[in-house]
Amino acid sequence: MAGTITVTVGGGRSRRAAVLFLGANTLVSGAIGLGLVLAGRGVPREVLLFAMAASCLAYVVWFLARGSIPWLPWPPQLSATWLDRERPDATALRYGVVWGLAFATPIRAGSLVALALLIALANDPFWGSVVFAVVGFVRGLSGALAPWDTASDGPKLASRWPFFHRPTVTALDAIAMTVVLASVLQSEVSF
Amino acid sequence: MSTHLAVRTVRIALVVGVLASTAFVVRPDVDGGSDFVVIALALALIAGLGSAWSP
Repeated sequence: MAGTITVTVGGGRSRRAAVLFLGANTLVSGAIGLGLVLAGRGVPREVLLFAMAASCLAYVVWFLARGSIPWLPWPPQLSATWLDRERPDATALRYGVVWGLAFATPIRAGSLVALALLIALANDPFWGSVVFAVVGFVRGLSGALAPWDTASDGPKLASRWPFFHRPTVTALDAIAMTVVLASVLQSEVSF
Repeated sequence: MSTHLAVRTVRIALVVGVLASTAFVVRPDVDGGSDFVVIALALALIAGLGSAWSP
């Protein structure tokens, strides 16, 4: 995925476009977190807890059975027709905004679902914005670093981060979902 | 076949181990307690990494 911004900003050499991409990602993602907190205010606490337990359980069972984390397929949102090599800043900004929407692109991490439910449950707009801004920042970081990398194409850039490749992230995701599931169960037992 | 069984055993051990250890480590309040910050930030980091490698 690091290749996206590489292509977008004319060979990945525009550092200004990379910063715009990362900034848009972070800001829009933070706004999504804020929106989720506000949207969750009308939902009863019990419903949120049940949804969190159910989604975490589903992810954990899937992980045990198949060794992977299910992801939600989504139609491509990053259209190739958006590429405008004449205006790398505007293009990077546009891609950053869509990436920052988080749920508008395929969700590979179950943690994102659990996180959305968790911040709705916590009902704290500040923390909702902060934690989703972290998601956007981390999500866009690998792509935004492309201009500083010596590799010239996407696959090579992606291979520079071998530790965080899919199996590792899947295991971390499953661990996180298990912790949330255990926390929800404890929370329910204690009431 | 034995490798497949070993991998599955590791997965089960991982989940059971995390479930058991969470019972001792995490306070039973996910909605605003001090552990919320740690859990939420950990989820945010993992969600960011996971989403970064979406197709």
